[in-house]
Amino acid sequence: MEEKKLGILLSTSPESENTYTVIKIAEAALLAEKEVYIFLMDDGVYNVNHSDFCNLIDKGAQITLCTHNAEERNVSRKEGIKEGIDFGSQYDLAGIAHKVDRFLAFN
Amino acid sequence: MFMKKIAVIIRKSPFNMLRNSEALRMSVGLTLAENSVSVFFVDDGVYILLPNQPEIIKSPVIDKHIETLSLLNGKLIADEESLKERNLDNLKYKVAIMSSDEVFDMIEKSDVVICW
Repeated sequence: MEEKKLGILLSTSPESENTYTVIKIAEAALLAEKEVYIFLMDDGVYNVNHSDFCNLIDKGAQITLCTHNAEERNVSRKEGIKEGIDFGSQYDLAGIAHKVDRFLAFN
Repeated sequence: MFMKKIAVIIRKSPFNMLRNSEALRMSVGLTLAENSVSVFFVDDGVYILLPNQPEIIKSPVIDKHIETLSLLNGKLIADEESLKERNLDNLKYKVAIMSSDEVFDMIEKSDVVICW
Protein backbone atom coordinates (compact mmCIF):
# COMPACT_ATOMS: atom_id res chain seq x y z
CA MET A 1 0.00 0.00 0.00
CA GLU A 2 1.42 3.38 -0.97
CA GLU A 3 2.35 5.59 1.93
CA LYS A 4 0.61 8.92 1.53
CA LYS A 5 0.79 10.73 4.84
CA LEU A 6 3.79 12.33 6.53
CA GLY A 7 3.74 13.72 10.05
CA ILE A 8 6.41 16.06 11.38
CA LEU A 9 6.99 17.27 14.93
CA LEU A 10 9.10 20.43 15.33
CA SER A 11 9.96 21.61 18.82
CA THR A 12 12.93 23.91 18.16
CA SER A 13 12.84 27.61 17.41
CA PRO A 14 13.55 29.05 13.92
CA GLU A 15 17.23 29.65 14.79
CA SER A 16 17.78 25.90 14.66
CA GLU A 17 18.70 24.26 11.37
CA ASN A 18 15.72 21.96 11.99
CA THR A 19 13.39 24.59 10.55
CA TYR A 20 15.22 24.57 7.22
CA THR A 21 15.27 20.78 7.19
CA VAL A 22 11.55 20.57 7.90
CA ILE A 23 10.79 23.09 5.16
CA LYS A 24 12.78 21.15 2.60
CA ILE A 25 11.38 17.76 3.60
CA ALA A 26 7.82 19.10 3.61
CA GLU A 27 8.26 20.74 0.21
CA ALA A 28 9.60 17.51 -1.28
CA ALA A 29 6.76 15.49 0.22
CA LEU A 30 4.13 17.93 -1.05
CA LEU A 31 5.66 17.86 -4.52
CA ALA A 32 5.36 14.09 -4.40
CA GLU A 33 1.67 14.61 -3.59
CA LYS A 34 1.87 13.41 -0.02
CA GLU A 35 -0.27 14.84 2.74
CA VAL A 36 1.93 16.70 5.21
CA TYR A 37 0.93 17.37 8.81
CA ILE A 38 3.25 19.49 10.93
CA PHE A 39 2.87 19.93 14.68
CA LEU A 40 4.70 22.68 16.54
CA MET A 41 5.34 22.52 20.25
CA ASP A 42 7.74 23.96 22.83
CA ASP A 43 9.96 26.59 21.15
CA GLY A 44 8.76 25.26 17.82
CA VAL A 45 5.72 27.54 18.08
CA TYR A 46 8.02 30.46 17.26
CA ASN A 47 8.16 29.16 13.69
CA VAL A 48 4.84 30.89 13.07
CA ASN A 49 7.02 34.02 12.67
CA HIS A 50 9.14 32.38 9.95
CA SER A 51 7.69 33.31 6.57
CA ASP A 52 9.23 30.47 4.55
CA PHE A 53 7.95 27.98 7.08
CA CYS A 54 4.44 29.45 7.04
CA ASN A 55 4.39 29.43 3.26
CA LEU A 56 4.15 25.64 3.52
CA ILE A 57 0.46 26.23 4.14
CA ASP A 58 0.06 27.70 0.66
CA LYS A 59 1.77 24.60 -0.69
CA GLY A 60 -0.73 22.32 1.05
CA ALA A 61 0.77 21.46 4.43
CA GLN A 62 -1.39 21.45 7.53
CA ILE A 63 0.25 23.18 10.45
CA THR A 64 -1.02 22.84 14.01
CA LEU A 65 0.58 24.14 17.16
CA CYS A 66 0.23 23.49 20.87
CA THR A 67 -1.81 26.37 22.28
CA HIS A 68 -0.42 25.75 25.78
CA ASN A 69 3.15 26.32 24.57
CA ALA A 70 2.03 29.29 22.46
CA GLU A 71 0.40 30.98 25.43
CA GLU A 72 3.51 30.39 27.57
CA ARG A 73 5.48 32.29 24.92
CA ASN A 74 2.89 35.00 24.16
CA VAL A 75 2.41 33.66 20.66
CA SER A 76 -1.19 34.39 19.89
CA ARG A 77 -3.61 34.65 17.02
CA LYS A 78 -2.80 38.16 16.07
CA GLU A 79 -2.10 40.17 12.97
CA GLY A 80 0.92 38.81 11.24
CA ILE A 81 0.29 35.15 11.99
CA LYS A 82 -0.47 33.30 8.79
CA GLU A 83 -4.08 32.35 8.31
CA GLY A 84 -4.57 28.61 8.35
CA ILE A 85 -2.30 27.80 11.28
CA ASP A 86 -4.39 25.79 13.68
CA PHE A 87 -4.10 26.54 17.41
CA GLY A 88 -4.57 23.02 18.73
CA SER A 89 -3.32 20.77 21.49
CA GLN A 90 -1.41 17.57 22.25
CA TYR A 91 -4.58 15.73 21.29
CA ASP A 92 -3.99 16.87 17.72
CA LEU A 93 -0.44 15.49 17.85
CA ALA A 94 -1.82 12.17 19.08
CA GLY A 95 -4.16 12.05 16.10
CA ILE A 96 -1.41 13.01 13.66
CA ALA A 97 0.98 10.37 15.01
CA HIS A 98 -1.78 7.79 14.72
CA LYS A 99 -2.95 8.53 11.20
CA VAL A 100 0.28 9.15 9.28
CA ASP A 101 2.33 6.53 7.49
CA ARG A 102 5.66 8.11 8.46
CA PHE A 103 6.51 10.36 11.37
CA LEU A 104 9.61 12.47 11.84
CA ALA A 105 10.54 14.35 15.00
CA PHE A 106 12.90 17.32 15.04
CA ASN A 107 13.68 18.08 18.68
CA MET B 1 -8.70 0.63 14.41
CA PHE B 2 -5.25 -0.65 15.20
CA MET B 3 -3.09 0.51 18.07
CA LYS B 4 0.04 2.31 16.93
CA LYS B 5 3.19 1.74 18.99
CA ILE B 6 4.97 4.94 19.87
CA ALA B 7 8.39 5.05 21.53
CA VAL B 8 9.46 8.26 23.23
CA ILE B 9 13.15 8.30 24.13
CA ILE B 10 14.39 10.72 26.78
CA ARG B 11 18.18 10.98 26.79
CA LYS B 12 19.03 14.31 28.33
CA SER B 13 19.57 15.24 31.95
CA PRO B 14 16.69 17.05 33.66
CA PHE B 15 19.09 19.48 35.32
CA ASN B 16 20.11 21.58 32.35
CA MET B 17 17.02 21.61 30.22
CA LEU B 18 13.30 22.14 30.60
CA ARG B 19 12.31 19.95 27.70
CA ASN B 20 12.08 16.66 29.61
CA SER B 21 8.86 17.84 31.20
CA GLU B 22 7.57 18.71 27.74
CA ALA B 23 8.57 15.29 26.44
CA LEU B 24 6.55 13.68 29.23
CA ARG B 25 3.60 16.02 28.72
CA MET B 26 3.67 15.13 25.03
CA SER B 27 3.76 11.43 25.95
CA VAL B 28 0.61 11.83 28.05
CA GLY B 29 -1.07 13.57 25.12
CA LEU B 30 -0.09 10.78 22.72
CA THR B 31 -2.16 8.30 24.72
CA LEU B 32 -5.32 10.23 23.78
CA ALA B 33 -5.52 8.56 20.37
CA GLU B 34 -5.31 4.82 19.68
CA ASN B 35 -1.62 4.78 20.55
CA SER B 36 0.38 2.49 22.81
CA VAL B 37 3.00 4.76 24.33
CA SER B 38 6.29 3.63 25.83
CA VAL B 39 8.74 6.11 27.35
CA PHE B 40 12.38 5.03 27.49
CA PHE B 41 14.80 6.71 29.88
CA VAL B 42 18.25 6.28 28.40
CA ASP B 43 21.70 7.82 29.03
CA ASP B 44 21.34 10.94 31.20
CA GLY B 45 17.56 10.67 30.89
CA VAL B 46 17.61 8.19 33.79
CA TYR B 47 18.35 11.07 36.18
CA ILE B 48 14.69 12.10 35.83
CA LEU B 49 13.76 9.01 37.79
CA LEU B 50 15.59 10.13 40.93
CA PRO B 51 13.74 11.79 43.83
CA ASN B 52 14.34 15.28 42.41
CA GLN B 53 12.50 18.38 43.52
CA PRO B 54 12.25 20.50 40.36
CA GLU B 55 9.82 22.93 42.00
CA ILE B 56 12.62 24.22 44.24
CA ILE B 57 14.37 25.71 41.20
CA LYS B 58 11.05 26.56 39.54
CA SER B 59 11.62 23.87 36.96
CA PRO B 60 8.58 22.30 35.27
CA VAL B 61 6.87 19.37 36.99
CA ILE B 62 7.71 15.76 36.28
CA ASP B 63 5.63 13.89 38.91
CA LYS B 64 2.25 14.79 37.46
CA HIS B 65 3.14 13.61 33.95
CA ILE B 66 4.70 10.33 35.07
CA GLU B 67 1.74 9.52 37.33
CA THR B 68 -0.76 10.38 34.59
CA LEU B 69 1.14 8.34 32.06
CA SER B 70 1.05 5.33 34.36
CA LEU B 71 -2.70 5.76 34.91
CA LEU B 72 -3.23 5.87 31.14
CA ASN B 73 -1.31 2.60 30.68
CA GLY B 74 1.81 4.22 29.29
CA LYS B 75 4.92 2.09 29.77
CA LEU B 76 7.91 3.57 31.58
CA ILE B 77 11.20 1.83 30.92
CA ALA B 78 14.69 2.59 32.19
CA ASP B 79 17.79 1.34 30.44
CA GLU B 80 19.71 -0.87 32.87
CA GLU B 81 23.15 -0.01 31.49
CA SER B 82 22.46 3.71 31.78
CA LEU B 83 21.49 3.24 35.44
CA LYS B 84 24.58 1.14 36.21
CA GLU B 85 26.98 3.54 34.51
CA ARG B 86 25.68 6.29 36.78
CA ASN B 87 25.38 4.15 39.91
CA LEU B 88 21.69 4.92 40.27
CA ASP B 89 19.38 2.68 42.24
CA ASN B 90 17.19 4.96 44.38
CA LEU B 91 14.51 5.52 41.78
CA LYS B 92 11.43 7.47 42.80
CA TYR B 93 9.10 6.00 40.21
CA LYS B 94 8.00 2.47 39.47
CA VAL B 95 9.54 1.75 36.09
CA ALA B 96 10.49 -1.39 34.24
CA ILE B 97 14.24 -1.85 34.02
CA MET B 98 15.40 -3.50 30.82
CA SER B 99 18.71 -4.30 29.23
CA SER B 100 19.88 -2.20 26.29
CA ASP B 101 19.13 -5.13 23.98
CA GLU B 102 15.56 -5.30 25.20
CA VAL B 103 15.18 -1.52 24.92
CA PHE B 104 16.55 -1.62 21.39
CA ASP B 105 14.21 -4.45 20.51
CA MET B 106 11.16 -2.56 21.72
CA ILE B 107 12.18 0.62 19.92
CA GLU B 108 12.81 -1.30 16.72
CA LYS B 109 9.30 -2.72 16.87
CA SER B 110 7.71 0.70 17.33
CA ASP B 111 5.77 2.40 14.55
CA VAL B 112 6.84 5.88 15.63
CA VAL B 113 10.00 6.91 17.48
CA ILE B 114 10.34 10.37 19.02
CA CYS B 115 13.69 11.21 20.55
CA TRP B 116 14.21 14.11 22.98
